Amino acid sequence: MLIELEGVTKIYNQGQINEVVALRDIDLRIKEHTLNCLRGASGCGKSTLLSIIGCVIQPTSGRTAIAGLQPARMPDRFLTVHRRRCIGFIFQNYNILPALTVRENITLPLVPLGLSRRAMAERVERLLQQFSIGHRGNFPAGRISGGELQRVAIARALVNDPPPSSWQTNPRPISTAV
Amino acid sequence: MAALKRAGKTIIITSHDPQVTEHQAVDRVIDMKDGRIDVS
Repeated sequence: MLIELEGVTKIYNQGQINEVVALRDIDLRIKEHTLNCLRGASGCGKSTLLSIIGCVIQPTSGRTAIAGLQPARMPDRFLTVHRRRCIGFIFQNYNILPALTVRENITLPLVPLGLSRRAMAERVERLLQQFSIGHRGNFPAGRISGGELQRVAIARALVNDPPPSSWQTNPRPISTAV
Repeated sequence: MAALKRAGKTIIITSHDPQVTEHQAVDRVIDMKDGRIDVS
């Protein structure tokens, strides 16, 4: 099982007047190599659940195991590395930087990994070809079509070759901080 | 999405769009309501 949640509860602003219980006692198991769809009305907790699975936030209580690791037991710096290596995010509005080229946008997640320029270029070129956007590589991302932007966003999510990929298509971004 | 799954990725999406949720590549739809997984 790739993702396991047991009794996960998330409370924002706990104990304060603006306390919000976003998740209540969630039990969820997700198998590898599957496509899963979270469905529900706005405010039902989908984004919070994705953020916990994506190791962006921690639950208030409960146990999580994501790709073999238990985020609650990991220091932030290791969690950052785990997220960088294992999880890709694709946002509804893509969050592509319009002033950078398509190639630069896809390269960005690789920069903190300390790979050689050649290794980075090889990964990016492979994805540019895979998603049929090689001809747009040197275009500013702000000047390509919506469909191409979507492919850039998917390529950027995959450039670290992550096992789980998280793709959000609802109106609310998972987090503008990601 | 199907191609990503075949490539060995595990994908979690959120959507209200039936074209997405009812797509043949989707293995599981998880309904949520009021912070809980809705099993009704």
